[in-house]
Amino acid sequence: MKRGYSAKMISYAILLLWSAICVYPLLWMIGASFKEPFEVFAGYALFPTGAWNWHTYVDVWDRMHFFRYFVNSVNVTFWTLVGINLFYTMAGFAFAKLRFPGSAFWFYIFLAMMFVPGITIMIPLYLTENELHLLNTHLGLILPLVNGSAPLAVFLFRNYFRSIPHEIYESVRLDGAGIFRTLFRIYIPLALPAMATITITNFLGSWNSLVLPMVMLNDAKLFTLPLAVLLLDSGVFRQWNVLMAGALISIVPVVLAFLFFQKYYIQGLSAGAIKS
Amino acid sequence: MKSGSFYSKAARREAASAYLLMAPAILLFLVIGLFTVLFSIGLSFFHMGHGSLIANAKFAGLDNFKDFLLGDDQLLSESFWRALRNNLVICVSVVALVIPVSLLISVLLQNIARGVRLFRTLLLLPMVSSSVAIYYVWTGIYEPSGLLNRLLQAIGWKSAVAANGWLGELHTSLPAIIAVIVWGMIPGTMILYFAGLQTIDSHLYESADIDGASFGQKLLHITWPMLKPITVIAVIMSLNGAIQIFDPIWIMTKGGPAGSTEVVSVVIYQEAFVNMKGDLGRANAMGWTMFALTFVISLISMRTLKEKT
Amino acid sequence: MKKNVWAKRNMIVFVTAVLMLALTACGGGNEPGNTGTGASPGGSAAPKSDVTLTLWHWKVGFDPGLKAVADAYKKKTGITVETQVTTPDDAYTQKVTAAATANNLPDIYLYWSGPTNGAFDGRAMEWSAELDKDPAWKNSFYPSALSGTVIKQSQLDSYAKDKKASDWLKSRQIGQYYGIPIDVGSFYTIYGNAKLLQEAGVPLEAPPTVEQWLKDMDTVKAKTGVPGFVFSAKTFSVYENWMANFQDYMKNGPEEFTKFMNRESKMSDPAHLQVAKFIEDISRSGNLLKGAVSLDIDPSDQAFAQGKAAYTLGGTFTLSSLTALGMKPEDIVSFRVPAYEGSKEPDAKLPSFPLVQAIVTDNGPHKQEAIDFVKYLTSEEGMTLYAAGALDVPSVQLKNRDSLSPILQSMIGSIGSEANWYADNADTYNKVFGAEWNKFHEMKQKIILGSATAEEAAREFDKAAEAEKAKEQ
Repeated sequence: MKRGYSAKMISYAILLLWSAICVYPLLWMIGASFKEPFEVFAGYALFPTGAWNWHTYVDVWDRMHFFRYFVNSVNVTFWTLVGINLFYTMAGFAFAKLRFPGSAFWFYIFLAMMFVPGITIMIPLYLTENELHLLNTHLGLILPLVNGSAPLAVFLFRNYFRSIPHEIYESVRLDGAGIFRTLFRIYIPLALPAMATITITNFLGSWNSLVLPMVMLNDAKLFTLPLAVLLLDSGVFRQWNVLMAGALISIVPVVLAFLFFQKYYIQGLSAGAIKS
Repeated sequence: MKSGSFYSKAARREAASAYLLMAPAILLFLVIGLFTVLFSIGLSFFHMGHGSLIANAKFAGLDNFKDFLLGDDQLLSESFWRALRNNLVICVSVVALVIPVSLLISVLLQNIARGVRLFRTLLLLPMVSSSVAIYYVWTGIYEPSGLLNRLLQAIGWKSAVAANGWLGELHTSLPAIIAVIVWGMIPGTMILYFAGLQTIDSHLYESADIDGASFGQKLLHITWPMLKPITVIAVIMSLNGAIQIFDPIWIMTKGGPAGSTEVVSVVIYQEAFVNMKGDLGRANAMGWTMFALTFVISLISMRTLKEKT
Repeated sequence: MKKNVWAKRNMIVFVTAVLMLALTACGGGNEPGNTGTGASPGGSAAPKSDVTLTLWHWKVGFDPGLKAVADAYKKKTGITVETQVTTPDDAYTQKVTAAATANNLPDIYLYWSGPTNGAFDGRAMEWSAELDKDPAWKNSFYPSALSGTVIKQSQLDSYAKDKKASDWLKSRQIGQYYGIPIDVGSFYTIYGNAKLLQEAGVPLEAPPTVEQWLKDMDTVKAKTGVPGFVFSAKTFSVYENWMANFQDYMKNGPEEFTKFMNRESKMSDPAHLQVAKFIEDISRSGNLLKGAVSLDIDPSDQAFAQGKAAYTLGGTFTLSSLTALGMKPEDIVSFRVPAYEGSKEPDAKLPSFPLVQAIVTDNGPHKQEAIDFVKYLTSEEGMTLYAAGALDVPSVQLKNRDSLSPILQSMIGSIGSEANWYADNADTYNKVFGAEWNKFHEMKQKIILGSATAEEAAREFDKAAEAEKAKEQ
């Protein structure tokens, strides 16, 4: 009994220490956003010594035309996540449950995509999208983002489907269900935890994507939120408080989404646990 | 009902269904992925300078590869091999630190009763923050009069203080960068382990408790083996991330001081965009060489991990 | 239970998707980024035009200036000019390179200055005919702005020697212009903290030699405890291109300087060793701010602005940064980098060079309108609007600077309008971007950290220069 108690204490201690290390930079950013520009790197205090400058946020919000860019980011990220979850649950299921020629080949192709060097991609991608008239569209951002997450998604979904006892597959098929119905009615609902994992993992990659939208988009009306933050950087002199405020504003939706998805995650987990 | 011979009707129907299911993924790959990959592999065999038309690129054969692999371009080759050494140090450190720490923290989270949701949100924060801003914060922490040095002085460990800043000394710069990389990678790996931990039947733990197993024994004999597949993908992703790492280094040190934190992605970036005399074909060649290297290392890791059942 | 969850989730997803599509389909509202010039004011006098020109660039800070010119241009001609920013630099490079390949370049795009920079083997329009048609316009530019943009023999020579150069490059001719410079700048300027200098009793005027300047730094350190110098030792080319090359030119004169840049003379030579020795001196004497090796340009300016060092290195743009950082103009002194004792050209004037150029796409649908806009941008009226909005020194010598802010006037005032050998030979002094200089940059950091001497650095540099020279044909 005593042993269990101190183990819990140690657990809490370690978690608290690590949490502090995780949180500190973010706290610093928050503090910096309320300081004056040259106060940011002047002193060592986490938070402003004098008055807190709330006006920065109002100013940045105005300059950033937040709503328009926010909607664009949501649009791109939402369809990207839909695409990833749809395409790769289907592919993962095929890899996990079905036998067909070329399965190993395609599986390794999808995995190998993970190692493709990012730097080499932009120019040929631009040329491709130019031919397909996808330049300066949101679809031109969604498609590469979906394709880029194939490796992890295919691997994870295949694994997850494999871990579900095969008896379920057999009994459902014996009952006369076709492959498609088996997938969509039975396996997908069971895969909610995996889908939540993939969603969380890819949410950020898509939301914070910077170079891809910059190169493919010309029309500022279509820009996503991270681009808006970059455009705040006037280059002549960097106003750190403005940059930090802008960065934080673009993070808030992500944090909210995280909290939201955590709820789903737990819900999905309890649904999945029933299986045993 | 498993299908019979290879050409049986059932088998063909199964294969057709499989390809139908994979169609969107494969189509997307062919349209977006394939041309891009072939194009840039092709470009590795050409010379392409700044402000040139790709159509006018001059054929180079293996010249680009010979430049940085065999030392035909002495300075580039020196940079490349030194960068590669740095990358390997980072790889080993990252895998050795990220995997155990992520697993430990994920397991600890399972064991506590209160504050799970709060901790989980806090621990995922490094991932959430926009990368560029965060790296500036870390630069501040590492400054001569930054948080780290002040902490060390506060606890009395004066000899550990870096007078020129942790990013400004030759032997502390790489460890400092590695710390930031590890810090940033742990949340992503933790998410994978969260998912994996849920698939382990709690009955296993309960029967182990009845048998009187300790925390360490449960970790080693139940958790670790059952999380094998997750660990495999986590290792591969960490390796891949460590080999391709760019942002923290470019923002915090630009490869300095004196090349002590230079990694291959920085060498490639400078060749492609910074160096006015840079050759885009050569940059691509370096990139694809790293692809081959990462592929091989990952295969080796996968084999090693699978054997260690 | 499972089915209910699934159905509910379906509904939420569906409804959200519909809302999303509806919201994105909705246009209108505040349109950020693009030139939001509404209908021209006034009555029927304002000209109308269907033409819209697109201008690509990467400098967020210049956008206000460019937009001001675009607005004025629209009032004059009715033609809309839309500016589109792409940042950071590498995203812009990739975009323009890809667009050039896809033959998709906009009407006008800005690019880094240089004789064939951004010309993309002929996608860019050639300007010598236009310039010759309008001598008044041609002569309004600073001589160094044009000489930094025109193709000279030295360029043709280096294309001939480079096996990677395209056939198009090799067939260029002397006197061709593939862009029009829109701004100029200069480096080679030392800024001093007047308060610290006065406190230490050091004169505020330019020290006559580097040797005297180093003594002044010692004095400041002794009297105030503050180190003498800070610069971004982290960034390649700040020391090499903002002071060392010009100082070497002053010390050795044009011929010996050219030999040095062409890798024919060695840094280990007493004539050139000062490049490394200076670094060694300020590091050993404690006159270089600790941690300079990890400072970017902005933080380095900040350290100076906060009074952590008495002097810093900069260019025309540094003044605006320092004032934005809170320094008062009366507390800042500036002078050209000092020359070494016994220099051959100790009174060389501060050279200037073009930084950004405007390029017109040769086969664009509205080529003539684009040409007209660039001419307007570089006219007295256009450049005044641009300079004020962008806080940038225009490439055109303005006759009337009264409407500009004092800081801008001061920046412009520091630009010399006469040509000199150094300004005319950008190709030579730009060799300081070669790979052997990158090696020197690393050795410089080692000198600062105390793990190398000046002689060792010079030796490594010479070895690297040899290796690079071997690659030339």
